[in-house]
Amino acid sequence: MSLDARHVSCIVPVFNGERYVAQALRSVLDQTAGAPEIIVVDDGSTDATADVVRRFDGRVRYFRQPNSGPTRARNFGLSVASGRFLAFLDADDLWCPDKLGRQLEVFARDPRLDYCGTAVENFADTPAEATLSGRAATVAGWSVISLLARRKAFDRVGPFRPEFAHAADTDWFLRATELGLAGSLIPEALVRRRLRADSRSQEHVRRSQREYLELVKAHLDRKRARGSERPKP
Amino acid sequence: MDEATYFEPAPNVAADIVEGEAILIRLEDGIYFSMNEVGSGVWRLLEAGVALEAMADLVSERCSVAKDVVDRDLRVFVDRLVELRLVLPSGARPVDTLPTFASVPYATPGIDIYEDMADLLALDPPAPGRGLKSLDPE
Repeated sequence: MSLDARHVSCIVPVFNGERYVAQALRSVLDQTAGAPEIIVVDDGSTDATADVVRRFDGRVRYFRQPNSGPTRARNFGLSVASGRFLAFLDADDLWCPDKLGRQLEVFARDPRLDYCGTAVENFADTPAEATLSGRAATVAGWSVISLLARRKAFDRVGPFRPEFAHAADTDWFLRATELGLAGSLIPEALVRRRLRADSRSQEHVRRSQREYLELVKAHLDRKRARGSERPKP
Repeated sequence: MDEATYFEPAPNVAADIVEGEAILIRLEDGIYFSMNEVGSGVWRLLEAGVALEAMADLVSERCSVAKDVVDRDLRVFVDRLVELRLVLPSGARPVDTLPTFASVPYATPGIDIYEDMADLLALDPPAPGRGLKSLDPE
């Protein structure tokens, strides 16, 4: 069965994203494979995000929730999405034009595949922001902004867990892996992630790190319980 | 390997004690590590800025094991941590509060290495403290 963008819902959480959200939405609408269903979940923005998104009326479904974070916004998007495939983009990032097409080809070749990601290219609007980020230009790793998953994968793994303020995406991929779902990572960067210098507090950093460390510890404990712990010699 | 006395966690490492076990993530590549009970206790002391010699005294006393055994094991252990880019030799630092070190049966302090989450932690590692964008509510 041929697959095309009509089978896909793209969920875009946004909070005060007036500056970049139009660019993000255009990158989804301009896919060479065609435009998927686009669901924008406005996470209580107080800027002109709603006005910007309404300019896309007819091509974008707009929802608004009280401010409760991107994880709950993605989960809300999951609850209203109609596609057999689910994808995500953050409101300041961009899909490359052939992102969806390349991933749908991978699914067409492998009907057993549950989810597919791509490498991500980091970019910054200014050299200062690029320097501050300290991030590599291209990273081959799992990220929600490059994820295309069968709805059945979400039925099995469940939604993102909102109790994770920082590591909800990583937790989802980890649970998918532990359940034995089949994932494929396209090595080319088909999504562009905008790096932004910010002024996060040390407390924010500490909480984020603690959450990831607890995630790792829980994963390790589950491995031990299954008897599948295999540290590198 | 050098004979440094003081060590500190390397800047690109997230580490904490989770349910009594030292868990570390090397942010540059998403490789993570866990330490056994004695290793976890030693990690607490190292983070607090306790000198190697003082660590050995404490571990020897709390675990009722010969000081020369602990001396040797600790040196091997911290050399391994340096080799894994998890700690760096440092200057002396004031120790605000000496962490507790439980009386546990002695085992050579050890660290295990895991690579199975590297591609999960590669792109979105725990915030390294600078330059991550966020859609989080402020």
